[in-house]
Amino acid sequence: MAREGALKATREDWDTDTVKHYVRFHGWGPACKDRAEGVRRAGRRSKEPLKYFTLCAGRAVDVFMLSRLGVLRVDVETNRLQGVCWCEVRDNEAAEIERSVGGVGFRGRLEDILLFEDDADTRRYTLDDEPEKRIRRKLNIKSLHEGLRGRFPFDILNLDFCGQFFPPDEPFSSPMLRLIDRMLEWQRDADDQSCDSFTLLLTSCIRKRRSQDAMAELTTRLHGNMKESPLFRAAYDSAFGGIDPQSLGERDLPAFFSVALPKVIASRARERQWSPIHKGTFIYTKRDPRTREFYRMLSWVAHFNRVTGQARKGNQRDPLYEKAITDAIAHGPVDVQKALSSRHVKREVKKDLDAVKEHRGKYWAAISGTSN
Amino acid sequence: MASTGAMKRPPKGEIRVSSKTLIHISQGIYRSTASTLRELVSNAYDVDATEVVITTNPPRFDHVTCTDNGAGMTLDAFIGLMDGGIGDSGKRVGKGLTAKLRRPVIGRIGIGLLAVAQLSNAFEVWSHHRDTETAFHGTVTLHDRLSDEADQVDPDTTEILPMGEYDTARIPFDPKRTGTTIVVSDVKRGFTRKHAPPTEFHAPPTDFRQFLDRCFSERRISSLGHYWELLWGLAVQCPIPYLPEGPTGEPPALAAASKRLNKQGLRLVVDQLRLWKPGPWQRLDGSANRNIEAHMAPFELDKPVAGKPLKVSGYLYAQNEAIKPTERRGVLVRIRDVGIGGYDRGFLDYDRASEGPRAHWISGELYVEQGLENALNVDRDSFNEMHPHYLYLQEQLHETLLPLFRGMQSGQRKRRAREHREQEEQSIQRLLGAIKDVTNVSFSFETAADDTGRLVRVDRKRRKIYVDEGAEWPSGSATAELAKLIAVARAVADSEPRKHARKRDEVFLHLLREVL
Repeated sequence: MAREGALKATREDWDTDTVKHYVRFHGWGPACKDRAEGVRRAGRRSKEPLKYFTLCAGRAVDVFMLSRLGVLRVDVETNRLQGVCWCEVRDNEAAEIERSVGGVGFRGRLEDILLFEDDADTRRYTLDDEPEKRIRRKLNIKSLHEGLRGRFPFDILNLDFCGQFFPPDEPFSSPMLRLIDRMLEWQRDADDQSCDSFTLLLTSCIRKRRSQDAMAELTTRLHGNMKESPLFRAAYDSAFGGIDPQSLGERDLPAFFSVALPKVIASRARERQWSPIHKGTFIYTKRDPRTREFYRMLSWVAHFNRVTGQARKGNQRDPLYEKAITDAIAHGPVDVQKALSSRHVKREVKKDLDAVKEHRGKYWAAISGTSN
Repeated sequence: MASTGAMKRPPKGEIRVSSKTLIHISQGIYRSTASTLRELVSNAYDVDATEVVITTNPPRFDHVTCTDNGAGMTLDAFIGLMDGGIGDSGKRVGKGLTAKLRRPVIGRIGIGLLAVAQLSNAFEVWSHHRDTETAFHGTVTLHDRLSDEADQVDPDTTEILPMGEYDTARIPFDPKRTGTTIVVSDVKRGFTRKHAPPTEFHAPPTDFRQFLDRCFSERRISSLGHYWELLWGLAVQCPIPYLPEGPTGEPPALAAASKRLNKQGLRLVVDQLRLWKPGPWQRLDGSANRNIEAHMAPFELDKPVAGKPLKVSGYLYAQNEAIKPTERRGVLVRIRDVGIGGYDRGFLDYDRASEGPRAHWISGELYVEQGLENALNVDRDSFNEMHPHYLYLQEQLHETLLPLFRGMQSGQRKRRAREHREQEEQSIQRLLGAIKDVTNVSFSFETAADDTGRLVRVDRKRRKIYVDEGAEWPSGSATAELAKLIAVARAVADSEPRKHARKRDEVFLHLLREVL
């Protein structure tokens, strides 16, 4: 019965990973502080806690960094972190998040939860009917879908994916892309319409094996943008020494995605009445512990503001959209490993990571008398 | 049945229990969620865990996890459990103490893991075993509607009933993760519905003192919701230390239990709230400021009953007001430091009716050191009330309660009398003040009978008011008191000069208002 070695240790030690923390420290932290100040300045929600959605790991360094920065607050009456909502598919990891962060947890694959669609079974039964396991499983996802939707909108969406946006054998409109669409819609359509702006922290990996359909589609779209927008064309030419996205994709895949991914997301956002403001792109290298293969990670940080009036579509020119994309090109991605080659920078990042861990230890000690 | 011959001996043999029984047991023997989770905590305690962390994912309550840092379980042990070892425990073989911390083993028959089946039909187990430095991951899926299926099976043809499937895989051992994690997914709807609030969820504070303050501010913890009840139930039932506050050393049984639980040092954290056992000194009145009279009565019992030793110690805390919250009224029996159910408000079937509200004034704990375990029902929430150990404990408890209640009754009478006297004194002082206001004379009372034969006489020269206590005042102390005060008011008014008839009436009315 036992399957020897079926599961291997794939846990990553985020507590000592200065590369990842560089992105948190220089990208996520400042953007989230901006968001917090914006919400508090707006007055209407100045006393409410910020709403933060995260795909954090068990030790939740991102959550405690934001808590240390004062972006996330601890309730004075209950001593619990406020406004944190998370999603995790791995049961033991979810247990650790619950233990360390609390908050409201959604256990399942984010794609399954967000992209759930009713079918005959889920329309016919409810969980109270105690249907068979197969249907119950679908109804559980429906319950997560409805529950998560009820939590929207969020002030900060931290979508720290470990998968890639355009995996091999997937169409251009991959589940991850449709997931982003759904989130943008839920941000827009939330019942109380209280969200005029939010911050997106989007991370995904870039692997050599990818969808060729998607690459072709992205290349075509970039070509189209260059035709339509002289500003975009000039920025692209200046950054990459030419206006051939296909050759950039073959030559420097991370650079290609550092433009293509924000462009695709920004385009879909404006169709859903959100206008992006580029805040930074980060690229770093990781190694798969199982295959020992190296791959790249891309992290994009952006603010989104609600656009009033009709959503822009297709070829309609949109100066804000153009600016966001040209900013993404002009400011280029930060090569994190290269930046960390400076001893001073590395020391600064490590110091902050240690301070976050100390802050987390104090929180844990305060809630349950443990600091491990 | 056809006869097989007049002289043939009727058959005899072993009595067997059908595996159906175990299936029915697995589907629900525990009365409350707290009792269900308590079994998981007890399992962790028995493998020397010093920390157990339970999460229930509030406010969704759609998953439950239980993680301990005990010795862990080997894959072979897990497979042994799955292949028919549930309910066949060897935990108590030997001295009945745990290997490392020498704790008294709680579990007897090894059905603790079945508690999970009451919460869900699916669960996963990760275990890192300290001694063998091995680890595994197991997935267990139980069949739906097991009880219905079991009823359909012909016991003559089937001996073993499959309850579900399991799958396992070895995983790399991680010494930092020694212990066991159980994750319950596909939680039964009843659990979610019971705990998820229909409106906004109010998370309890992560400080247990604040949690208790909130609980004690309510008449019933249940009014705060089932989730609060669950936390309270776990705090009361699990073998965890007392909240480190309050007097120590008295009574001895409590001091000994407190010392023992501290030494065993099990830390239990549920959804970020570290639970402690609430001690009797924690504001049983529900208000920190009231001046409440309280005392502790020790309980000791050490005697062989039905040939087996029965040793129980404990305390009964009594106060002169109802204990809040109601969940804390009564007596809690602990076996191996685990609470059996909650506080029994019936005091093991004591005739409470005759005690009236005084039955709400006592809260106690009985620590069973030897015996009584065979009287424990399988759910570990209740007793077989015909077992000789139970019957003897019941008798002894009732014998201890009787003088306690009588003492409380007498104390109650004395207190009422004292309160009455105080009230009377206050009324008199108020009336004397009012008399001074209208007559400018500071009178005092004399209770001696007056030789004039009058009920009340006012002597302005001596500044005395004589009240004949021996006269036939109306019956009932409060009525008599009122009558005397009215008579005094009349007498004082009448002591005014006769020519000022109007003034006499005004004085009377003024004093009457004060009296009434």
